[in-house]
Amino acid sequence: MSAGVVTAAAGPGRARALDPQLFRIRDSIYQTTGMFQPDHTLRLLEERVMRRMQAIQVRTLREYREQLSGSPTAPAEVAKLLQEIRAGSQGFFRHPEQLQALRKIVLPRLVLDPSRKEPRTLRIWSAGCSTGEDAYTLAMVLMEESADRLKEFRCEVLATDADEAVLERARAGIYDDPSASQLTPHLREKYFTPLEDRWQVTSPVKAQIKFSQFHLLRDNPTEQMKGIDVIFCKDVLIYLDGLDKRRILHHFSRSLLPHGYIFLGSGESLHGIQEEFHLVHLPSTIAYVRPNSTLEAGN
Amino acid sequence: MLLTPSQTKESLLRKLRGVNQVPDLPIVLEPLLTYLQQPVDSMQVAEVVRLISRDKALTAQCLHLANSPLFGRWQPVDTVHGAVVALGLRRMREIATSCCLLNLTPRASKLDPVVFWEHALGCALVSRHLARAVGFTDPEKAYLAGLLHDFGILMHLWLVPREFQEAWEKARVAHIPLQDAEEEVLGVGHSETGRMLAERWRFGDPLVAAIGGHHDVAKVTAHRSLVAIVALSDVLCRMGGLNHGYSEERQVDMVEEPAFAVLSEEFPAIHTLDWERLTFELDTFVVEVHQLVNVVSCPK
Repeated sequence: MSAGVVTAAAGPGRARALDPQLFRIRDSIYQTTGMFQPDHTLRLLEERVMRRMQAIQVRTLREYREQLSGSPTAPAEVAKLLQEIRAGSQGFFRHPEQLQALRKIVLPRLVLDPSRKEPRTLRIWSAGCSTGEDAYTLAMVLMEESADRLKEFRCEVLATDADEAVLERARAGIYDDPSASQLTPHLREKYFTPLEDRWQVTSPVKAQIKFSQFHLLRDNPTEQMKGIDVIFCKDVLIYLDGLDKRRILHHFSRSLLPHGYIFLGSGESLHGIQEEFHLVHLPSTIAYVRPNSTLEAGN
Repeated sequence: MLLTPSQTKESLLRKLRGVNQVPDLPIVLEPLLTYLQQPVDSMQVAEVVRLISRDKALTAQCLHLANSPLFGRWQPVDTVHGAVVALGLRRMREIATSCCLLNLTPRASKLDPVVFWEHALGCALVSRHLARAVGFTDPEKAYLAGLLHDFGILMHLWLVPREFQEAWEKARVAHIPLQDAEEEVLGVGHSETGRMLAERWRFGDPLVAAIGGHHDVAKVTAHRSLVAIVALSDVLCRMGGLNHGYSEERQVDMVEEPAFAVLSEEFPAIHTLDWERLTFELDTFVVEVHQLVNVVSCPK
């Protein structure tokens, strides 16, 4: 579907066309990682690629593209480029379309699922939670819903990361002005308290979350990783090779309840590795659902 | 006072049947649209150029669209003749029809009619892509069918604007498909209205099938793959950023859509389609279609 050429504006006097090599770099990243960058974001990709080209002293886009596939150092270079692309993407209430879909469609479906057994607990797992912004966001979303849809449910967010240092920061829950992200001032007042020139997440929000150190590849899932309704796993799978991704997805499949959901990061997909999941379209976003027919959770 | 659904339906059908009630095509567009409906092989370049060039605004719109990356062009063209030569008659037919459709959209409505044009153009682009991806023999026809699939909405905007607005409001508030709200409020959905008008304007069987059947593919008996392509593209656009001006709050599994089963009968390649990529690419269309609408709807 790509027009093959992107310019800043339609019509005469437009900006210079993008180098076709950038489209190939985009496609190569998609094949390797499942992360897709639409045409209108390729100017940004170009900037990031240029930075990496400078860093490794490569002169042409064609040479750089060759660095991304086929060479022994390719996985490391892909990871470095992804870090450039994802730099500064942390924050509260990022990907609002996902959160909207969670509130308006996913939670109602899960709550009304006739196969749901007692006790009435709803569990969300933030896998690879880093410094905790996504996990706290999810806790706040659940608290916002607790007066209405989830009033008969006990809600819990499990937040794991392999890195104990970032988990310490997540547990502390202290951030620079969180409303610099997508968090509204209203929610900041409701769920944060000022702490000198920073902001700390309130105790009731913290009480919703269980932080644990967990390496998605090396550690065996524990009991608390079973019976999960929704997994948010952002900016994790894109850094792994196909085999490792499949292993993690297999764990996720066993952790999720039937009809449980996986949400990935912006532009991420399970392209080529989604055997255990169904793609579903939600308003302005996608997610993956564990079908009923796969292994029962916890087996 | 608003009419009841059955009164609205009766009034709508009466207007559609009446010789003078259906809005006239603008004097320039009628011969052009009629001419563009014939097979590309029988068209003459000079005649297409002459028909487009009769209207300055249409000429400017066509040139803007022809210069857009959406149509795969990056060497600027500055005459209609140059555009036809550079892009070919098929592509020029798409462009001219797109512009005609925009010019048929009433501007006095309280609703922003451009939203519907954006959806139509998005659906046209996705339909063409999907057609190519599954191996459908005539992707240009899929483009035209996608572009015109919601023709009935245009008629509702012209003929029953107040009642249509009520239907749209209902759909927006309840986050349901517009077709369902129209059936409830107007007594008839845009697919039926569109089909009647398309027949009257002799759009040809494939286009009539797509316009009339895209919300009920399972019942379609002719041109089923074309209708299924348009139906899937329509759903994808409505779930993405090229919707009818509001988001439908539902979950869609494309593989479970009736249109998927219909299309897979003839085109098994649909089973290996990369839906994720197609969905992400739709984001590009959203940006480009918005840009394009700004330029094309008010050409300098």
